Amino acid sequence: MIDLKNVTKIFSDGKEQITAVDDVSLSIKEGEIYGIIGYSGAGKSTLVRTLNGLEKPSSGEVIIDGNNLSALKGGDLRKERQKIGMIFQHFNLLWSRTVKENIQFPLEIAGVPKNEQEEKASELIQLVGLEGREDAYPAQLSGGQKQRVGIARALANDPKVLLCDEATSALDPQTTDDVLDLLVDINKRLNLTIVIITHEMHVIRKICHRVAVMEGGKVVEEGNVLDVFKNPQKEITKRFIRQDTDPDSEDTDEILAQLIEQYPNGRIVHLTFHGTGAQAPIISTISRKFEVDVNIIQGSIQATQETPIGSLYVQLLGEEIALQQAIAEFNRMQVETEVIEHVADN
Amino acid sequence: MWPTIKLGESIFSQYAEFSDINWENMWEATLETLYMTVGSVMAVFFLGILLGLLLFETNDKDTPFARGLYRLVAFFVNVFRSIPFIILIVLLIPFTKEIVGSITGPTAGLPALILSAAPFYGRLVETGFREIDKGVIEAAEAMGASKWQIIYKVLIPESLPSIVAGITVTSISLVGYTAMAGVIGAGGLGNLAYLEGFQRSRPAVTLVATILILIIVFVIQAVGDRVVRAIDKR
Repeated sequence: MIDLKNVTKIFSDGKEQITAVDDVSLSIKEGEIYGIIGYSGAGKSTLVRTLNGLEKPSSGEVIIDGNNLSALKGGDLRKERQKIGMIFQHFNLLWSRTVKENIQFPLEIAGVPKNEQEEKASELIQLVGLEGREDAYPAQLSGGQKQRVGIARALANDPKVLLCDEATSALDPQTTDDVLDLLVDINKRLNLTIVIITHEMHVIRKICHRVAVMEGGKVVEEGNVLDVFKNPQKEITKRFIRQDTDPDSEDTDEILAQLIEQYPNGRIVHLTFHGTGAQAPIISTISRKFEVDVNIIQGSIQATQETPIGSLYVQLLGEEIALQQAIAEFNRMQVETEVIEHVADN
Repeated sequence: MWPTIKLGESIFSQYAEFSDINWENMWEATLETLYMTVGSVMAVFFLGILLGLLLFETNDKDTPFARGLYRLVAFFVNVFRSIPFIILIVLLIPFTKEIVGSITGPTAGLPALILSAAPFYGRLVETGFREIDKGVIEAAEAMGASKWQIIYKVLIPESLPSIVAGITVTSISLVGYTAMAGVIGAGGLGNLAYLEGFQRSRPAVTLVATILILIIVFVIQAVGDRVVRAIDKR
């Protein structure tokens, strides 16, 4: 559905040149929810803006549904944009229009007849669950309701792709979950391709099928969300996952550092469970089988689109040989292990 | 103490000489003032929005054409805004004569009124456009809106309270300017106050002309405030 080929975007203000997007190639399939995560300044917002031509790539190609967007101009580009919906962190609704008029706005732009506009708007108001609020002005709505209007507006022209630019970053956790559920629902119902830009790993974990991690304008890691969670390759990816699975990571780190100091013979291991592995009584089995003591330091379990994924920090104490066998056994049971020898200073 | 009271009495009695007032002239002068105000406000409204759009659209653009245009418009706006009105009116006499055919009467007052207020209002409109969240304009672009659609579906509706508040302020200064234009011969209440009230020493005429101008100003302010309140849904 979406193909990015060696997309680079360089901004220059007179003397200085900034490479916001650096040689990015991605392929996003139809009906997929694709996440792009990165810290601010990583280039993800610029990248998503090349997908609807708000930013023109300095080089490379953006191909959407077979159309080379980077080659389009003027009226052709505007026509194509009508097939790509977009929602924003700050909603960007027109305050001078009611909910219904905001949803009709893209239809007016596309020149849809008035009666069809009305019909489509009330259909969408139902889809996003805003019945009864049709004639309210944005100033009278909560953040979550405003984003629902944003979503309805983005869907008005039956787009092929929905771009979400930090769409939940201004919302509280409960509202974020509601909006994410709505996006999954729309994805399933309309088989809509969704591209999500975020700096929050839980957004990726909860609803995305695949993820790309961006740093310094480059995609440094890419893959299925489950695979990336199970086996992150890059330091930045590990940090994002940690931020999601262990929000109090500083406390954990402090305890880990103490334990490493006090028990130089023990092992601190980070275990990642998924699928059926998360359900078996692995810890007690291994403890009994190899005569190792297991001290649980921190643990959490989270849902992904595919399957739940668990994270556990444990301390293993026992004979050196027993420790090695235990770790080998974890691996055999498809639990990812990472032995932590020292804690990075934050 | 007597002389003071006598003085007070005589001042008061001068203002109270309502028999000096020719009400027919007063009514005519009021109509002339209204004519000049309404005529110039309408022209200033359209010219100001045009100027505001031009300033807004050419600001922060990279092309040399846009930059040149912005500088030109900004220069023109600053110059006309800076010339004292009474001087502008005299300065424009040949121009007025050419396009109106006369330099007296209410219509002859219009060119100077419009040229002095349109740039000022253009700036106010530009400020209103700039207060619009850039994200809203970006959202419209993302939906495939054309430049023209963005102007009449986003820029103008979203800044309408500023546009209306701006034209209210501008109208009120225009009422003041019509009085000045009146002194030069454009007619209206200012002209009446000057010719009858000052030159023929009839303070009662000046007093009534003042009250009438105040009423006009208060009505403009009240209507403007009410409209702004009705359309502002922020």
